[in-house]
Amino acid sequence: MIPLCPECSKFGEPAKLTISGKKLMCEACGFNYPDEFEEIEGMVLSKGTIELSPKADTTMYLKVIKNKNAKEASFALVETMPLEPFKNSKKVKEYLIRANYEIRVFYEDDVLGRGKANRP
Amino acid sequence: MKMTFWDAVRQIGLEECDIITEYKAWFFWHSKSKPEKVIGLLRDDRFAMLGKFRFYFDKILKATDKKSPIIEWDNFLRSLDSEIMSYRGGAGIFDPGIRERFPFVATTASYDVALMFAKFPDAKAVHLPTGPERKTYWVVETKLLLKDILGYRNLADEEVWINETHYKTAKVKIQCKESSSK
Repeated sequence: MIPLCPECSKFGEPAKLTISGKKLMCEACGFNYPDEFEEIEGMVLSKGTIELSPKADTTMYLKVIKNKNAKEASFALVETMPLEPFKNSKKVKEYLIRANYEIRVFYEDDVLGRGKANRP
Repeated sequence: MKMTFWDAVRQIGLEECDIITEYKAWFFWHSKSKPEKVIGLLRDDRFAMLGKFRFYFDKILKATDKKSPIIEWDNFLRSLDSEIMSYRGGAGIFDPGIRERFPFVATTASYDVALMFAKFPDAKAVHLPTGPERKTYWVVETKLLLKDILGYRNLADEEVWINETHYKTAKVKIQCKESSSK
């Protein structure tokens, strides 16, 4: 999940969010996210619809960057390998990803040494 | 009874999902990827009122805490008749009869932001005053009533949308020509 507040994030600045029960709230301005969320081992998860407009040469994934203490787990949205779709032999200039999503976090082996994937 | 920013949003008739809609529309407007989304905001009286309320909260009350009960709704309604200023900066010679693609002219509530856009050609892209500095530029100010603005959000540049009729009344504050700057 991108930690972004539609009220106070300026041009994509990350926001500090806090979860209380099933509600997710921005600590700075008090914006309440409309959907229900839940926290599992320090991760905030939800289901819904997401729209992304990535640059034509990038794809993204969510990477665990800190998880020694589950309550302080943090994640980063990371750009990875180039993705250049084609249609009728023509390079696509830009595209929109629109999908129902469910976030699953895959831990890196060398960070936690737990084997392959740990799906909450 | 005093209310919080979020109480006022509900008073206007909007909910959290509407704030997301508004944010997306402004974001896509700035990124130019889907600028037409702002038409939905312009046609909806609730979003028009939200823009006026945001301006009142940010610029007239100069408030920052959206969680504290500091809003007197009646005071806001009275402020709709108060005069405000908006600014715009650009290159070359000021043209008050500009025809925009959408039915508003984008100005800013900040003189400094207008001056930055006027002086630096790439200010809009980076929101930073990086060179080279323009040799010809202008900054104008428009006086209008709060109730007459069409939209306001501060995504970094305190942008105010006003209609073309009001823009035609803009007064030139700075007109810097190359010959006079030498």
